[in-house]
Amino acid sequence: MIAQVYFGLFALVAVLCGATLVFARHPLNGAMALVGAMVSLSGIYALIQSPFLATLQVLVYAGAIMMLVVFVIMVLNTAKDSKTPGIDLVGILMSVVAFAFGLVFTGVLARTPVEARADSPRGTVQAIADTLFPVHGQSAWPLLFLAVGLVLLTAIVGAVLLSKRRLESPISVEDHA
Amino acid sequence: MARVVPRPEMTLAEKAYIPEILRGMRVTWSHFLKGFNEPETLPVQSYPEVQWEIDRNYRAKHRLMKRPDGEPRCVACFMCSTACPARCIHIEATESDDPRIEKKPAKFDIDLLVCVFCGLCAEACPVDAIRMDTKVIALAADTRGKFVATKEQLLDWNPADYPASDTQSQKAPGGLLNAEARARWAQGDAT
Amino acid sequence: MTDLLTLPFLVTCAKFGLAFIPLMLLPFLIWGERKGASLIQDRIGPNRAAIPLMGGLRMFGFIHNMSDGIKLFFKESFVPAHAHKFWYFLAPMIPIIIAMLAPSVIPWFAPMTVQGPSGWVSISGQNLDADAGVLVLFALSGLSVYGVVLGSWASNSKYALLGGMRASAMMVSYEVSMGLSAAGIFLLAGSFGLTQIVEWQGSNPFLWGWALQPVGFVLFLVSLFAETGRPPFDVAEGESEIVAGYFVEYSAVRFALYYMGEYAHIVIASALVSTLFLGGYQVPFLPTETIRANLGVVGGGVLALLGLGVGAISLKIRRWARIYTTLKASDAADRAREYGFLATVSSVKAVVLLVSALAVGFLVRTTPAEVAGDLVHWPLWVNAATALVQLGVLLVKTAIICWVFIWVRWTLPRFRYDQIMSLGWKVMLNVALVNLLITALVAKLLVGGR
Repeated sequence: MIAQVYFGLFALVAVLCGATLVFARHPLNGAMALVGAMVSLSGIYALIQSPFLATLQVLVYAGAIMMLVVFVIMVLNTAKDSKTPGIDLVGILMSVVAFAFGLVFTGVLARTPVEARADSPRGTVQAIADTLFPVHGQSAWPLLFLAVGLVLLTAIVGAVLLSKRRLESPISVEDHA
Repeated sequence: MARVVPRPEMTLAEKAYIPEILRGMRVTWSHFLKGFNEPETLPVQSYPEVQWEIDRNYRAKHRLMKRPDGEPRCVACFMCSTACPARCIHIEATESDDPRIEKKPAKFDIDLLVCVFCGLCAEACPVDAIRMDTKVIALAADTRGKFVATKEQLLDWNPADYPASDTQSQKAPGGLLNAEARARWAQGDAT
Repeated sequence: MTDLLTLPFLVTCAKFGLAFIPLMLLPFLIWGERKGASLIQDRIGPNRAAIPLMGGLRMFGFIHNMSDGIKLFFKESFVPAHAHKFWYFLAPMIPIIIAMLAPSVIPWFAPMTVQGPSGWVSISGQNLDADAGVLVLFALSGLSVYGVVLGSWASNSKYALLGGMRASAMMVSYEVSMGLSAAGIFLLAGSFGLTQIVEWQGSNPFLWGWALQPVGFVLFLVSLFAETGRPPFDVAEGESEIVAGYFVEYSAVRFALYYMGEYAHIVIASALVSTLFLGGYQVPFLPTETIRANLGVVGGGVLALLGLGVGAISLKIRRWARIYTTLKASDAADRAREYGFLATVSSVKAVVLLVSALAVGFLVRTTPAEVAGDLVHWPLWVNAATALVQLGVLLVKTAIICWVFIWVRWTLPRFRYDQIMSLGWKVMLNVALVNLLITALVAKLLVGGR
């Protein structure tokens, strides 16, 4: 019963934040609405017995990724360029497409049997660790984990290389203070 | 020609920075213990209970000097008012009762909020009528108007606070030495 | 709504009171900062604000907290022109919200069992007994950066924006090294849950986190200095505009909220360090069961220690009272009288504590309420007393680390911003990674466990 109340609260906040994100004038209002949506999503994850995922959602999404987005918006001060009109032909078309997509999605979900009990300990750290890095038996999860790590490493190295100045230019002399 | 200052390279222990931090923390800890255990050794002055000695030469609030008969020495020549860079002295002259002296001030106002305490007024006065040796440095009032020192306030000082040997001022008109000099002059003595 | 009245829910509501601990420690921390800073700098700190009781009680400058709070409450609270109103009002609330949420994951006492309506219910020391305890704290500290960022941007001032950007970039970079330096502890303890980490550390002080992971301890402490924005990493407050950095445009109560939030973060950070590396609520050399079994002796010992401490304080105050009469200050008589009064009060307290220590030591005997195989259940008052002792130990450790925060602040000069960033990414990250690697190797090879 309490869980229902909490779910209603989180779902309401998520939907409102999503609506604000779409309709906000100032990009920063939209970005902070997205942060709010992330946090309420994290609450919903916690409600379905996935505390680890909930914590990671806040830690990674709301804490790091959205922080970077907010940084960029503030530093570049993109509010001055956001003169895009709110409602126009493209907007209406996209709304129709999104609505149709939502209908299809909901229909599929309603027909899929969900095999999960509300109180299974599948979301705890212990359970996730046992699944990801099994001590006994064979599993592909560790390999996938390493592959994802490698992909992220590639992204980081690429970002660093792209932002580094050319080595022979005189500006790029490092200053050892 | 640039002079190269040789700076010693940091040793490895210094570069690690942690041992240096610990050394610094030991120094501050010893200071803390000294202050905690022996607070009377701290170089702290409990103002306003303990005030420090102000030199007589320090330019503090002004005072108007008096003649032996109690009248202010000021002859309203406006030299201090003209010399003041902050233009804080306002004088109104009037006729003096003494036939030897031409003018006296009816109003002598110094706006202490504007005054920069430079001492040029005291330097400009030809009769040593204004001095800044009262050692009063803490000026406090509730309104701006109360910061204007009037003639009565400037004349309101206790002779017992000041040194008795005030010989330089005696030469001004009205002073003892001046009276003796005029007497000698009237008698035809050329000195 | 019957599930509202179950024991776990009520217990959670009761434990929410523990969330106020950082806010209650705040006046002491601010007082300790000002007095400690001044004594380190060879001066006496604030000592003038007084309660008009008994001719003026100054309490060594403790009243200044109250007077500052009242002053900040009554100051004019303005909103700068063209500020973004909604974020301007919201931003100062964020640090306080985080400061109220963060103490939920710190275990304040050992888990205990309480007789519930249906058998024995286990109550853990932390309000939020999640398996991913520490990650929640890291997530919350990540969210607290929003307070800085939004506050600086909403002020509509270039200087505030610059200061805020730099401060938040620094905080985000040091979150990474904070997580990695504590990763050694997570590896060795085998869990993220803070209660498990404290239980793993045991009660021997030489097996606590600081001894097993010294490098991690130092790195974690340094990262915490940067996370809370304390000197020597105070680019936010001291540097780019010498005024107040990202909260330059805030006044009165909002400034007080930021200020309190910063100090509350210091308390929470100290509690975190104590929990991860200094054994948390564990009393040195006394495991929890030992305390519960010999509560009389332990309680007597604790009271005796308190009595001795208060007695030492009263002796020191007496000495100060003697010295003050020799000084030239015209209020020497008042001070001497106040110090005499305080010394008398503390002497009386010391005597009371020592007597009660003896009484408790000799008279109190504890017996378990029920022994169910391996688990021993104790009556409620035994558990509560043990919890109090352990809470006190944790608070002492937190206070020591807070003192280290203050101590380092007045020892080191401020770092330059590029020095901070290169330290965070080039030095600390690498050292933390190597530390983690070596820890993992040693753990695997020597112990063979997880």
